[in-house]
Amino acid sequence: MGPVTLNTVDNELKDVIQHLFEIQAAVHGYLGPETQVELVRKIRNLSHALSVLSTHTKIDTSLTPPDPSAFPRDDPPLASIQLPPEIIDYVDAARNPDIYTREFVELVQRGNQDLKGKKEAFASFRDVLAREMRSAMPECRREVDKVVMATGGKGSDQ
Amino acid sequence: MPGIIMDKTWRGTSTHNVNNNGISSLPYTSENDSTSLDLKNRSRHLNGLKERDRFSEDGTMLVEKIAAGDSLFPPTSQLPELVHITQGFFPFAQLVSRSVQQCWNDLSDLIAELADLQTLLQNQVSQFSLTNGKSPGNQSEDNMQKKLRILDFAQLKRTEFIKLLVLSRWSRQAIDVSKLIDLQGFIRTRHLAYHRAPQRVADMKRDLVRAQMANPDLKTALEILSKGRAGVMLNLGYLPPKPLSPRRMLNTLRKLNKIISTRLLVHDFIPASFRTYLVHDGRVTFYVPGEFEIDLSIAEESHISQFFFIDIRFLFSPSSPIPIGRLSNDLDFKINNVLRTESLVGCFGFLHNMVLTNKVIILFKQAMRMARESWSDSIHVELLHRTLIVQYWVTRTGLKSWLEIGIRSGRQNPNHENLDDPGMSGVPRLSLRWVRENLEADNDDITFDTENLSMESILRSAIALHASHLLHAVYDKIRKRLLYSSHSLSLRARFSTDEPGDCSLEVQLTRSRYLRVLIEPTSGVVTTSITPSLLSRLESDNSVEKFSTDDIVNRISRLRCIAAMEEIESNARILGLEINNHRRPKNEGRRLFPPNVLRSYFWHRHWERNWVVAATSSMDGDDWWVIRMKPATRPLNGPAPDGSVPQSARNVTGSLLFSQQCFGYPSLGGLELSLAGMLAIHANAHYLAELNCLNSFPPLQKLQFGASLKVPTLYIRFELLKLPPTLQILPPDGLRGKSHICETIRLSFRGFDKQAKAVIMIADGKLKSPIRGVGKTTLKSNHSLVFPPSGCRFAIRFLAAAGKPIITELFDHIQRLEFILSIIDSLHRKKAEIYSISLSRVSFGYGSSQDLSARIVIKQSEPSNLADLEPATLLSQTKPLFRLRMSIDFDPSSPHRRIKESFATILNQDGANTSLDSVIELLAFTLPLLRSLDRITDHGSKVHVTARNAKTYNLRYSDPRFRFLVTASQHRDSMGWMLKDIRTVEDRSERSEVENYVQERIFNSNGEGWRGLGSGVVADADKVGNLIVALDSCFLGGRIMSGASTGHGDRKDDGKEKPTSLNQQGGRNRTSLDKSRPVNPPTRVATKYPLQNSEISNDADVIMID
Repeated sequence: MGPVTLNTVDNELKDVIQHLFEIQAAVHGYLGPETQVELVRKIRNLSHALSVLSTHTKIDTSLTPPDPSAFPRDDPPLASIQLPPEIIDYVDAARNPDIYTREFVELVQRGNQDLKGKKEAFASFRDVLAREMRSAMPECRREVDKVVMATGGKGSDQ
Repeated sequence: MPGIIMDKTWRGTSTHNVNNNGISSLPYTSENDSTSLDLKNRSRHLNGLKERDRFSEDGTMLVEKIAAGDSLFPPTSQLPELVHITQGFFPFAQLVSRSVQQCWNDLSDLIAELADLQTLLQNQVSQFSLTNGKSPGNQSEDNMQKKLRILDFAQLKRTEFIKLLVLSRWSRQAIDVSKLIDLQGFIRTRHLAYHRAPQRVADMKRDLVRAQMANPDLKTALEILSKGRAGVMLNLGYLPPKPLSPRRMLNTLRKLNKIISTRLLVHDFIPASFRTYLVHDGRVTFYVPGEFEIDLSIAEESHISQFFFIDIRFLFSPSSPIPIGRLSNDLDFKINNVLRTESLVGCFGFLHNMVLTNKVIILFKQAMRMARESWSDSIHVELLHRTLIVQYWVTRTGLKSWLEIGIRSGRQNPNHENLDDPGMSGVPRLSLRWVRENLEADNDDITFDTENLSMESILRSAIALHASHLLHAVYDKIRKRLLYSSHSLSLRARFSTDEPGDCSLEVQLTRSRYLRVLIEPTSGVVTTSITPSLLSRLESDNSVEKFSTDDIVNRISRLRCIAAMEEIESNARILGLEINNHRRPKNEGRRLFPPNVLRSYFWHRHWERNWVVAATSSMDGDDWWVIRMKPATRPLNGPAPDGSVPQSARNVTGSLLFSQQCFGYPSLGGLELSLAGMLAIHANAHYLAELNCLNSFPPLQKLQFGASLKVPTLYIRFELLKLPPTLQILPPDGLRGKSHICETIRLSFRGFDKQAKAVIMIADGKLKSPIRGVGKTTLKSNHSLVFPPSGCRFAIRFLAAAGKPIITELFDHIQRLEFILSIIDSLHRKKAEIYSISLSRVSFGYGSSQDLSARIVIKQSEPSNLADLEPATLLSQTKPLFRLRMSIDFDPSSPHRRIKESFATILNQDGANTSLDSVIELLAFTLPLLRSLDRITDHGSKVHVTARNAKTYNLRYSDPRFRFLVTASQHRDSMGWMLKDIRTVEDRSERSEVENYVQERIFNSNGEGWRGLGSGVVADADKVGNLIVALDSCFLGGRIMSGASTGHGDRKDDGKEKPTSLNQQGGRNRTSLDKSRPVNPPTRVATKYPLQNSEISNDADVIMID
């Protein structure tokens, strides 16, 4: 048996949810001993489902985590899934995790653009500074040029 | 894909990286984050560092040198990996696993919980099914609860698993998002690096400043070095003035003087305070006493030009001259400004205010120094603007007192203030306000010298006034108390307006002790000291915590009372008085005594138990009280029980200033004696008051000590008829009638008999008529009755324990005295000579030559418990307690002894007016008869005499039997004796020869003073002796004639007139006389009063009074 994948776990989770719902339904419509038998059966089903899920989610630390790239993208192995704590809190507060994802992407986008602007501004400042230093201290011209080159700028025009 | 930095430097190298994971790997070179680099990155980075060190030595980073295209490394393989952030990441499998486990556990718990409730529910269900045959579904509360529990559980767990499912769905993006996170981490670190870079640049620029150096002004330096001066500095080219010659100077000054004088006289308005000035030396000096003097001068001749300030000196102390320097320059500038704008008026105002402020500040500094040093903790100093507030006696509780020194503008009340100097109105001045215990007080007396400033003297003066005020109030209150208003104790107060230590109040507590009240200046604590200090228990708290005058007065009062009481008690101990404060009644004392007194109870062992003496002490005087205790339920022998209740208390101090006299040693002995006397007098007065039948003076409440502890005398108006019947003695009627004693009886105390341990009381009074011959009378030594030689007065002495009333005895004695006097009166009338007089007997002589003496003895029956009888008991009874019985007594040789009983009967006869007179008449009348009878019996007569009464006698001769009767009879205007033969017929039948002889010699014969009448003989009263002798001689003669052998029978017939032979029958005759008592003793009294009779035996010593 290969490593348990997310789909498996999904299904099993669905089972558990289904069983719980059925228990709720049975209790809500409780009529008598017949329902009681039914309820007992459902609880047994639940415990079975729980047991399966428990078995599948037991982490075997001895095994190296499987490489996710070997699996289809939609169905990565369970063992490879690591969740950042923020997302757990997010879901626990009953919010949509996709919104988290989107907002995070936007944040990174903004940061990237900001960084780009800064980089260009600093490059510009570097050039100005280099020019001034060359004119003020002609004797240091070589060293200035070297620094400018090393930091990705162009060398002196002269 | 976001996050691609469009950086041309690695444009060519980034293609495959992007393809690989969608994120471009950026070269990572920040040295600050080197710790988070993995090893691989680090080694590369180190290479880069080496390269960089050469040109960026002071930490400027930001370098993508590595990515510099062709520079050092091949870009494709050398791009570093992003740091993979996994901190806090959580494996999803574990999350699911734990949730499942939790769900399982909860489920188990739920089932177990439900199982516990099952049995009860099943029973219910089964019952329902029995009745209906069909289950209705259990709708009970418990069952509902159970269902709810299951529902809740399922709902909770379902929500949880749905969340897990959502996470699971999302987990498909997890790997991508993780990369995004790494990217964000990178961006953040770069941001930090960019942020830090300008900081570094700025730091470098700042550090470079120190590397700069100024350019030297070489040109000017050369000029100065070569020429010695600088051509750029300009010279204004002024010419120096010529030096003034002394003469010129003098002229100038004189001129100045003239100008100034003219100006001041003609042009300038000079404020009132500047009126004292002196123009000299080219200047004018204004002199403001107590404040300052200022020199001004002028600079121009014009009279509208301003004055200029030269110098100022302060004229008060302590003050310091204004130091040269900035301060004086400032002052100079300011004064000149003021002079320019406001001329002299403004100048004065400015300087005046400055001086006032200066003074306030100086006082403030002095106060602060005092508060730090000697007056620490006792004053509070505060400066509010220009007002200095010094609160003193800070530690004192109660209302606050303080001094305010401030500046009064002087504008408000121009009419009221400074009337003497109208020019000064409106000028602010230093003023003092004194608030004493929250009330503004008159501060006129406070020494407030504005020239010689001394906070301490001001404060001392205020405190002295305050202390004087307090002590004066105390003084006034104490002075009103009686002890001090009457000047029996001294009270002296000393007041001062300057020095609080001089304020004191000296109160004399007792004759020897003084109390000094002082108020401690700094703290205001009231201290008291007592000299000589004996009151050790009071010394401990010699400071008064409270300060109101009432408290001080109360404390002084208490000390005085305690001191006085201590002296009284110690003196009383010396006197042997017992202080029995343990018997002090708790509440009764307050009822009996005025409030607010200290009291002590004293008792002496020689006093009656039911009387005590109390001393009280208060501010109105120290008093002595006589207290009668009402014995409580256990009055039998032994001391008065503790519960004895004082019945009444009488102040006996008198209006005299008693305290002066009762506390000195010289009068100590007298005090005890006087107290005992007072007790005795009071006891008697009290008894009298309870009897309520006789008037007495002075009234009970006025029985008080006189001068020199003189015990008062009680005057009693003795009216016999007003006496209660119980106390009236019923004398024989003959002695009633006119009284011999004046009504006023004086009862006085005469000391203490140490042997009898009793108080001596004397009752004396006046006789209406002097007793004649009493002076010659020899009085027996053990008599209590005495008549002074003048004979107009009498005195009776009593001995009794102090406090024991002697009123009943007194009444008894007086009445007896009255009785005795009436006897004496009668005796005098009969010319009898009185030998001695006492209350129980009168002896007198009678007979022709006063050779016989007789005694009238007065016996009295009285109840034995007389002294203990309460007045109420006496009043409740109606029968007399006393009964007098008189008897007469003669010497054994007296002839009257035969008829003693007869006399007694006559004396005690009721109804006879003059029983005593008749007795005395009888005495004389019977004397010759009795004498002759004595004579014949003494000479051997055989006669047997029986006195039936004083006037009737039987003479019996046994051999031959003859019986004669001698009776007193009236014949011919005078009393005489009649002798009769009273033989019966049988007797007459025998012995006729003697009969004949008697008939012949007596009845038919005549003798001197007697005459035979045949059947009887009549004899004169004084010559009856002859008859008796003649009669007896008949029988004596008969016996001699009939021979000696047969004795009596022979002699009967003859020789009766020879009373020669002796016969020893006298004694027998007397005894027979005694046996044949003719009168019954007055046993009527005894039967009427079954009280125990007792002889009055209290005839004690004689006291001679004048």
